[in-house]
Amino acid sequence: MNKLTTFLLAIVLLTTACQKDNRYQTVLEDPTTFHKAVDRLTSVIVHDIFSPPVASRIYAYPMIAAYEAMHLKQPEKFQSLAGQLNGLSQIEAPENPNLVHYDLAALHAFLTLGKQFIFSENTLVVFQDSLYTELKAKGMPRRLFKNSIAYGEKLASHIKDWADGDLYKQTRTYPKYTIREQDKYWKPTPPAYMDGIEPHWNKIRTFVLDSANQFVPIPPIPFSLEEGSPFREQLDEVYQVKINLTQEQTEIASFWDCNPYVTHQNGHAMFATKKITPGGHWIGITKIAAQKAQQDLPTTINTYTRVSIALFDAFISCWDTKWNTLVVRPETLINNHFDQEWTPLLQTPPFPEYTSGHSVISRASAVVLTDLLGDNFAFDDTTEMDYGLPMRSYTSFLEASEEAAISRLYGGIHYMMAIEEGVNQGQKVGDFIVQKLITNKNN
Amino acid sequence: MKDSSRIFQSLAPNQSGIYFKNQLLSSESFNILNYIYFYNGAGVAAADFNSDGLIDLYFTSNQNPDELYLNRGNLQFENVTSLAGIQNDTGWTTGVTQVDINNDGLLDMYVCKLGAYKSITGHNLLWVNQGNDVNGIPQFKEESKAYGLDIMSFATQAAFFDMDLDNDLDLFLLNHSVYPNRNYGYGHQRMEPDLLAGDRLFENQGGSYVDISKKAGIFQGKIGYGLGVSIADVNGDLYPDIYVGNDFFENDYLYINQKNGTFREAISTGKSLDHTTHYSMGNSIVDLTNDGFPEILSLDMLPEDQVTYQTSGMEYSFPIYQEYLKKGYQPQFMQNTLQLNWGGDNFSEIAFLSGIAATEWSWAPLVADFDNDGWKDIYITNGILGATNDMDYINFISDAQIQKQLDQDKNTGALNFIHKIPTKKVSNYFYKNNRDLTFKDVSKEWIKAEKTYSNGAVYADFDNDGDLDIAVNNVNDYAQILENTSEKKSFVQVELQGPEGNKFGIGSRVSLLGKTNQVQQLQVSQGYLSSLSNRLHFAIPDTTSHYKIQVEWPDGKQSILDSISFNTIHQVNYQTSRDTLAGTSKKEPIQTRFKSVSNLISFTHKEYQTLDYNRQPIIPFTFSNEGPPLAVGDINQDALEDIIVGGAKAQSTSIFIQKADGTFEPFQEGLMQKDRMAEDTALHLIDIEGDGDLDLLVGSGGNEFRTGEKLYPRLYLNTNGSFESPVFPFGKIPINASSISSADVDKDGDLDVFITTDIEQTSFGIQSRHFLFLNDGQGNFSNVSSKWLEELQTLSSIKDVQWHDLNGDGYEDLVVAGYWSPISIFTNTGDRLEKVSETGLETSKGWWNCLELSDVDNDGDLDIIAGNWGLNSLFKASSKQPIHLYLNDFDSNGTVDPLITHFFQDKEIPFASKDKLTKQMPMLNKKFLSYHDFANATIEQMFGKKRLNEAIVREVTELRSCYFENIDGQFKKIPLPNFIQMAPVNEIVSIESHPHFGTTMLLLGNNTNISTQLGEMSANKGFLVQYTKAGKFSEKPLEVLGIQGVVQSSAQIKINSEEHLFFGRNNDSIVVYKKIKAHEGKK
Repeated sequence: MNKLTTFLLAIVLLTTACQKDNRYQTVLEDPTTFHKAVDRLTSVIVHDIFSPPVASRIYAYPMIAAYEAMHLKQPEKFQSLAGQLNGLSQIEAPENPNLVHYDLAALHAFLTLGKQFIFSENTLVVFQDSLYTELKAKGMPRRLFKNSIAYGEKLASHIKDWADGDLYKQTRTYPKYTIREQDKYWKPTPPAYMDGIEPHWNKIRTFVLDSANQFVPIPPIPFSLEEGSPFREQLDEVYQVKINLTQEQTEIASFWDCNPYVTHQNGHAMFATKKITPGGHWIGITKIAAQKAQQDLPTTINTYTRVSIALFDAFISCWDTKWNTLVVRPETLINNHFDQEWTPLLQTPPFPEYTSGHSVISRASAVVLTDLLGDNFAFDDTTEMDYGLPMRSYTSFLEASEEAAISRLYGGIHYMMAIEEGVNQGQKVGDFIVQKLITNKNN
Repeated sequence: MKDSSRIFQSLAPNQSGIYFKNQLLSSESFNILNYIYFYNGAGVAAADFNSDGLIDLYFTSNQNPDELYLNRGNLQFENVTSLAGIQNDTGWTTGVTQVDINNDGLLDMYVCKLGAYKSITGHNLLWVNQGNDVNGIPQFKEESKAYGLDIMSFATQAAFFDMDLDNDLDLFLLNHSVYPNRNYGYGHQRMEPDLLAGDRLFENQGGSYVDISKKAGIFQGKIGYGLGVSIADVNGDLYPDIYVGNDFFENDYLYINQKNGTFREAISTGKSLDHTTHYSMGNSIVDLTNDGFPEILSLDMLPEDQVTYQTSGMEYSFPIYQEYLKKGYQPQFMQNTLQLNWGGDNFSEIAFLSGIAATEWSWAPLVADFDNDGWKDIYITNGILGATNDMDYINFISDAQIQKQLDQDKNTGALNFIHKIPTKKVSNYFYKNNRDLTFKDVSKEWIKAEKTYSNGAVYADFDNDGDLDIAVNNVNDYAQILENTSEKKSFVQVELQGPEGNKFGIGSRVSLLGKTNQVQQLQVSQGYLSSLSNRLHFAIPDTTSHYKIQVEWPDGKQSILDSISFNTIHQVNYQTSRDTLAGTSKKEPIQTRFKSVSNLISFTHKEYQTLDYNRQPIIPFTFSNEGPPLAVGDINQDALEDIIVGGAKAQSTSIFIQKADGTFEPFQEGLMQKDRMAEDTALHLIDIEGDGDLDLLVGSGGNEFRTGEKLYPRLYLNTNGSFESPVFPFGKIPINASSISSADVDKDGDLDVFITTDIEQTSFGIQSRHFLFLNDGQGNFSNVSSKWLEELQTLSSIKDVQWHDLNGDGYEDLVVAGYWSPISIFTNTGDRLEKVSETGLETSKGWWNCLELSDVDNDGDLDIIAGNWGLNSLFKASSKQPIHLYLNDFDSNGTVDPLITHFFQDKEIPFASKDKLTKQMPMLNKKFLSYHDFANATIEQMFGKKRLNEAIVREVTELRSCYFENIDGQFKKIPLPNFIQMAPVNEIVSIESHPHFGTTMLLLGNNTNISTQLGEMSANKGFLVQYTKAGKFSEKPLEVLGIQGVVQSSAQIKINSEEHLFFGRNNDSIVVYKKIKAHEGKK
């Protein structure tokens, strides 16, 4: 150690000792802290087994709460979502803004709402406790801490009240789907024959879209099993793809499986494997992108929030199409008419086929991310590594979303029409949100 | 240590000398993940191999060497496996059967093995007994090849029996599929033979075994997961029939011998058994009622333990279940099933009523008279090393780390994964026969509880002391001998010396005839993977009586042993037999009072699939399977009675006019077309305007519509013998009608109309309203419900009513049956219906479907017979432990949730599964994500004390159908006999009430639209019940009509001056019976 370094070190130590301990600032301002909170939320969503649309709701509301704190922190830069999202009103600003650390308020609101929306709170509680202990240890003034937490609570409860009006609770007791006899209609699929997931999700209040059916895709190709008919060709394609599946296609399908609950049944031996939802995958990509772009905390939260909003509305739009068109899954038709033994590479998820959810939500997310970070934003997608799958690299968000879309054909769970129209639907939802939703005023 | 207070003592290895263990070891290459029956255990055979009069034991081991033990007397056994030349230590071994394959009088063994599968290879082994060596050790040689029995398949168990009564032994080989059952596909796959998994039937043709499976009509599909096989003559024609239990969604098979070398499978082709076990394991066909017709007992995996019940995977939900049925499967439920045999043609499944439906993950049923009282009892083995249906394991315990390993490399991760599978080590069950179709759980009384994983088991009198001991093969524990130490009673045992080709007389029916008869058929493949000895044991319950032994040999010849001595083994030789007329011994079921008449009217009621479970997934039963109602009267005034049948949704109500020749013909077919979308649930023929003809009132409901025209009651006025277009006589009031009746309630000379409801449309349990309309004599009605029915409106759900002037004041009074309430009586005061209190009926709140007023005991007053839910489901109810319905918005979402609870092992638990409840109320997951936490919580912890206290609470305290004897206006409850309680009673028809011939009535019903968690209640085959005397009824039906399906209505019609009974069946055709005068029938 040379003299100069020793000298500088001494000054640093001296300064820290004499001045106020501000290390907590670094912790709060470091977007890694927020990313960690989001990761924890994702892991609980996986553990508790939430379906893809419900998961999108769990991400969205806590993000929005965090975003509103960023708006209050930098009102000149970030516009409030109040008035922009259906039914969201302005939250009262703190009486004494100087006594609120908005970064902490954002985190606290995020965690508080996160805990309310999931079942197993412990993971988030542990994370929160250790974070708060660290903040105190790193010099956060008691009063500032207390006030920030209090305001975070307020923010959370404001968002919670609003969320309560989105018909989620009411739709729990709406009727289940009644299985229809005709071949063309969706039926529960092997091996668990689960009830259709969220047949009334189109009744959930949208954020930016004016309604669930603002962007209705063209109707599915008319059902026909007659050889050579356009529908039959769609079905044959699914069947053929599996026969000729390449190694790369297999990897692509598995990478984008994103099925939160895959039932494995082997005689009496049953177990489930769980993965992040499609929405969760795009939240993961958002983290990778934000980190790569070295976004600061407010910008990071802005990115997450816009993606979350797009996911939420895209799911509603897609689910509206699914439960209105009620298109049967390829597996059902192939088993019933052509090959009883046939199984798709991926397990067929428990809801109607048209349009492909992954196509819709991936495209919508990619459009939003492209708007924020530009096209040709190359990234390495490591999201699925925790679930035993390798990394994949993309040159742009749109490329990734294209691959997510086509993966459903490789997986044997979607017809091409649902993928193509799903991508169109996602594009429209994404474009609309990009155009309509103003957050970062400088953009 | 002996525990003298118990009948059975389990002997330790150092006492019995049996050190056999079925030790399982999972390996990377062979385990539960790649062989689905890894934990199914092994079997045991009982036979006197060395011909010393002591019954020996052969244990099979899945992975390790089998072991042969010679019985040295006093329950001392000696392992002579290698001395006897037996070596079976490779591959995977399953069941074992003792048989004298070469008719040398020495017992051989046929051992089943898993053929080519994964790393396993093998073929079935035939150990042929060469006789004893100088040391008295029987010597065995493996000669399967020489007999053509070196079969390579996925064998489970073999059964040797004389299928064609030609005095040699044929072979049924049960195999089990090993394919992943990801997708059950269609039932017709059972028609496509699979060489390894399909069952096989071999005919003994001069000593060689010829596969005749296909020709004989044996299903050989790969969907057959055969785990149990039993042979017996179930229909009394001497020819042996076969029962096969299949795991998973494939039906069980009941092969009825067609006496020509072929079999007709009765389950897939008809409705011979209403439902069977879903996950069928072992089975047994033995006479439990001492009527000569054997019952069929098949085991499943329904837990009795409340926590296990709530943490295990449950039966598929009703809508999904219906989809399976459409794919070509018959109803099956996760419960043990006991098929009560009514004489070979009709069976009633009564396991819940009997008290034996839930015995945990079960394998072998042993049915025998363990307490020597002349009635056969039941022993059930159970337990599993890998209970892979634990919901916490499936969802949460099989955690991400392990899964990741699995995904990467199926093999290396497997063992970690497997070791986390929960175990279910539980005690085996003993049930004592109560002789009234029910059994008492005496597991704790009869033996000191010991937790084991027990599979194959046999009974035999190992110590020749006159009672039956038990040997059990356990996984990872020593095999047990259960010594029967019960106090000595008299007995006889029988051994047969059969004809040349069947030396041990397999298939013979042996009866002990005396004060009470006992019948046993000698079939040794019973239970699970195991084989009983050839010696039959009978208790002599009353030594002062005279008994004889009758042997009916397979070929129909008979031997009789008169004046037998007790407490000894009787040898009966085929040489002593004499011819009888073939079939004379068949017990014909007697039907003397009613004769089935082929369809007189062409009407089949057709229901759409029920929507109730889609709307309210947590309810136990529906209100949408009510019809068809029937109405009888002379419509066209030709002095002949006509009949009207109500149509279901999208089906017209139909009128049939009786012609002079006694045939029926459709009438005014177009009339009802317009209103066919309504589900017509109540019909009433009534002269509305007093013009002397019958007008028709039609009520609709069936919980199909929420409101609107399809629920308005309609009136079809009769003009000159035909009906006019309908009008709405009561205005536009939507009424989900359950009954329409009429009475002149205000005594003004015309008929007033009373309409009841059983459900507020689509809202289970919510108060529904009933209606009374006064007639002005011209057919104009005024709604007087609010004044007249004020007290009656407290009844939330009414199913049936009877008007009668009970107090003799000239005003017709009302008796009402319904749900969540007692049978209720209302006095007509002339301006309202006033509830009568303190009738003695109050404490019996039921799910009352129907009632009948009749002077049952011929004492001059009217008694009440009321049909209830019955005792043949998972539900039990009493005043102390009622079924509750809590109505409240438990999750604050603006919708009232119908929370049904019941007592399960003395704890009040929600009826609906956690999965169903949390879909409706996700907040429950917040409190109890783990299934075990949920199962250990109280309902207060789940739903909040406050919410429960604030809820509207309804209850059921009595589920039995009852006779209420009128004693000076007070009603004394007398539950009807057990056979009536085996299904809901929907319809009661008084047949006779005669001081001399007595009182008889028909009780009919059933309900198949109930939650799949409850099973299915279809055991009522149309029972004629007789009141004997002093509040007692005959314990058996006087006659069984043999009606399948759900009877919802009845009507009596005179045709050619003969009384006929019409029964309306839900979603089925109308059946008709002609009444034969009782005294004629008695000739």
